[in-house]
Amino acid sequence: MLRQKKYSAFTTLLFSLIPLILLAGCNKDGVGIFYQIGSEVPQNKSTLSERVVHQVLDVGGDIYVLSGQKVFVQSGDDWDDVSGGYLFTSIVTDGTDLFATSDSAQILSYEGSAWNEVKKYGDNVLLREANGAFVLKVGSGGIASISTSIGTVATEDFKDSEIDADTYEGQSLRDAAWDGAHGFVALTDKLLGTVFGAALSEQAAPDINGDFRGLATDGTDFYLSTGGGELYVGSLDNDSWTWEEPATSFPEVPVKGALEVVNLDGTKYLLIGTDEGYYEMKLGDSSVVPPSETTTVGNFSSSYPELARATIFDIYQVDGSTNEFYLATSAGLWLRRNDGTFARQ
Amino acid sequence: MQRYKFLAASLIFLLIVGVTPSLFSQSEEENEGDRQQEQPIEAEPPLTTPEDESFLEPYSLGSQTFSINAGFFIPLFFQYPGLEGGDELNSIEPGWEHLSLGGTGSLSWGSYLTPRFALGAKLSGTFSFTPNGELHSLIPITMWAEYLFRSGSFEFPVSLQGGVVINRAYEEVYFGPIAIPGISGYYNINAEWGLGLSLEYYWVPEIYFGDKSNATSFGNMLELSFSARYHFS
Repeated sequence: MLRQKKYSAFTTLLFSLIPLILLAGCNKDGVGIFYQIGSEVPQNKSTLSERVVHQVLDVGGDIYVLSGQKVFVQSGDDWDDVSGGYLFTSIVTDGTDLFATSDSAQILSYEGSAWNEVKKYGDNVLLREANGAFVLKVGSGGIASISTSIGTVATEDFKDSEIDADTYEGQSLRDAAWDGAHGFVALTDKLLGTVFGAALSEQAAPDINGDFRGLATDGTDFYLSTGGGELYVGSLDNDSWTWEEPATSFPEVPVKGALEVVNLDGTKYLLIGTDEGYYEMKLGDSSVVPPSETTTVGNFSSSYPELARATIFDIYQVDGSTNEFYLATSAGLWLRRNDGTFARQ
Repeated sequence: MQRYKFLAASLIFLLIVGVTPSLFSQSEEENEGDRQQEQPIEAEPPLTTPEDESFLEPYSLGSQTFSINAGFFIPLFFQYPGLEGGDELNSIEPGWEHLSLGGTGSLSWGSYLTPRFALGAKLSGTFSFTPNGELHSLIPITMWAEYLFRSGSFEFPVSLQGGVVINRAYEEVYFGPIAIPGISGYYNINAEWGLGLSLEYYWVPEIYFGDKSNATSFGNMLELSFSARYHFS
């Protein structure tokens, strides 16, 4: 009797595996695990490899990043922490000097070895740079644009900046874009605009519920993305801006704010940072697609799975003639090389 | 962080492997003492010649085994039979260039149908890492059949496992079939316990159809593990 019980248990176990075997072969939405393992390109390990990188920019040939609340500068294959005890919230450059905001409501400038306080405010301060123009926001209130002329921003401009306080209470500074003649600033659900030499003023925004994320310009039109996944193109028509949706197939992943126009082999692409890598739209087209056309690898997401899954916080092209650009991501800093491959920095 | 979690899990597993035999042997000694107290004195066994003893089989229908394995997971190669022009892979890629040397552990139970043939079930787990530190794991859930070769105190089970495997990496999960032929060698230190080594070959198909058929692949790996096997009825 005991033996019979043992074998009925054994038979039950055997038959319970049959449904599992019938389900074999299921993979929800994968690329192929062994395919990815074989395709994965080994990457450099550095101080930034395991860090979240929020901003990247070039200052006189040196690459600086904001990672968490620290500022690093590239030094060979690795990175040096140049934070000097400060905790930073944003970094900008005028091309010659590095400026940063700290969590102590300061604007600081970096002199190559030390930080110097330029100005101190009474509330948290945040800076954004767009093609040589700067936008400054203090606390939950006011906002100011500093200099509307490329290359003329100096320390004095920051010192003299005046904030129109309480005008935009509750609004976060998301992004800014400046084509040399016109500029836009995206707040949480307001769009500010200006023309050369004039103050910022509220503009007619696309008829959506806000959550603006990224702004970029190709020198003629402006592009605006939202956390809901919409992309708008703003065009100037008889002194007024109209915003339309150009994309027919926008990625169904949240946009994180990185929106940049880059030049690759003489063709302009709008790059869109999301929670799962970046997407691209060739200007003039209407399709937003994964970066397959502009890479030289067989399968982007298999070769660079970390980058394909990463949240993209910033996209930065140093020189439009090199086909290179940087991606500041939740999985470190990545460089898109001239040959169409990617390398973690 | 994930790597540390798995290293911790591996240590815990190895501790369990180390502790479990002593628990078994302790309870066995206690049971033995109980049996000596409870069992009446039996009649003497019939006389046999040494030649007769060599044909005695220690296992029979209903004899059971419980095994614990822990060891190394060695990637051999990946085969990609459906590659297309845009793919940058070779049809055979060396496994050691894409996965690190890993670890493996398993628990197995079986029962003999004849003195030399047994059927059972096994739960295993493996882990290794891709060049950029991504964790890859396999969790095979298999049924097995084995034939036992014996020589004195040594036993050499030759087995074939078949079942399903949960294949994980890159936040993806593939639920597929697996086949694992293997051979083990045990030295029986007493009537209950055997210690030895196991060598198993993992054949892991990952099959796709349609526009993803180029991603079809076959993983080939090796498990080399230390094994402890407990016999009971």
